[in-house]
Amino acid sequence: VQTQATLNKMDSEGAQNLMNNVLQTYVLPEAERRRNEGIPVDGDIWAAQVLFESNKTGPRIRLNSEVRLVAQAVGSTEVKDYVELYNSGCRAFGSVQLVPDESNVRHMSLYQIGVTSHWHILFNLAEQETRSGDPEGQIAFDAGYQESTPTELEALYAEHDRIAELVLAINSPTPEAPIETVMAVALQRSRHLVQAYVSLLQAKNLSAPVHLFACNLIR
Amino acid sequence: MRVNACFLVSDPLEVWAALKSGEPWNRVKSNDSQPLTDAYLHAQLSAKFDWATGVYKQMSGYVHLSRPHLESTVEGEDFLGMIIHQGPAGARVTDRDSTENAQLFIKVTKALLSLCEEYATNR
Repeated sequence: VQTQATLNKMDSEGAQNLMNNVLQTYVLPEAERRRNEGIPVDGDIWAAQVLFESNKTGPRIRLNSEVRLVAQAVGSTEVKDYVELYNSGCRAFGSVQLVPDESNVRHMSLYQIGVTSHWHILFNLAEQETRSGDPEGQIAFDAGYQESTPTELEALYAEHDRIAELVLAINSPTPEAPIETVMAVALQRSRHLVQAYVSLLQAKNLSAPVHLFACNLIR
Repeated sequence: MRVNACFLVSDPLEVWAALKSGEPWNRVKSNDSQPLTDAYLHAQLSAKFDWATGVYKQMSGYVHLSRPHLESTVEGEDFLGMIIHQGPAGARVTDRDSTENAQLFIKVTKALLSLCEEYATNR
C-alpha cells in the first residue's frame, strides 16, 4: 500500500497505471467469473467498486449498477445516486463520493465522469482506526482511461459542449446577440434529443448498429 | 432550419421575437421578402446541405400522421382482414426503423453543430 504522501503526488500516468492494475487484478476477473457462471455483466463496464473488508477472505466487487456512490451532475448542486444519474443519461459529473454509510470503507472505486469514457478513481486504503475521520483518505484521481471509442451519438453529445462554449464565448452586441441566443436554445434542445435517442437506442440494444450505420453515413 | 433563418433576415431580433412569443415564424419576412415558412426554410437550408429538403420530408413523416405511423399500427391495408395494433409505444417499430430514424437525426444534428461552429469561428 502506498503512503498518503506518495498518493498525493500521483500524476495522470500513475493514475492510469493504478486504474489498469485494478481492472486487471479485480474487475476483469470478476466479469469473467460472472460470465463463466452464466450471469454476465450486461454491456460494457462503466463503474466498479472493490471493497476490502477485514472480515472477508477476499475483496467484494461491485460492477455497474451495483456500485454505491453519490454524485452531482455538472451544473447541479443536488447530490443524487450516481447509478440513477448515469441510467437517466447523465454523462457529465462534477463530483462523485461514497455513500455516507460507507464513507469509512477501504475501497477502490472506478467510475466514468464524461461522455468519452473518461474515468476517475476514488479510493481509500487506510484502516478505519488509523484515520482521523476526515475525508482526506478519499482521493479522486483522473485516470483519463479510454475504455472504448464513444458511439456516434455519444460523440455528438460531447460536440454540443464544445460548440456551445464557442457560441457562448462570442458575447457580441445586439443585433448579433439574438443569433447566439437562438443557437444556444437550439443546441440545448438538440442535446436533450441526443440524450433521448441514446436512451431509446440503448433500450432497444441498438447502440452498436447505429454506430456502424453512422460511420458508413459519414464516409 | 430555424437557426439558419437567423441569416436569412435583415434583423435577427425579429426571429428572436418570434421564438420568444411563440408566434408563427411565417409572419417574419426574409431579406427577399419571403415569409419564413417551413418550405422556404428547408429550401434555403438545402443551399448549404443538399439533403435538407429530403430529410425534412422524411422526418416530418415521423411527426405528422403519415405512413410510418400506419405501418406501425396496421397489418393489411385493405379493410377486410386488417389487424390494428394498440399497445406500448414503439412496440411495433422495427430496429430498422429506429436505426433509420437515428441516422436522419444524426445528420440533422451534425448540420446544426456545423452551422453554429461556422458562425462562432467566423465571428
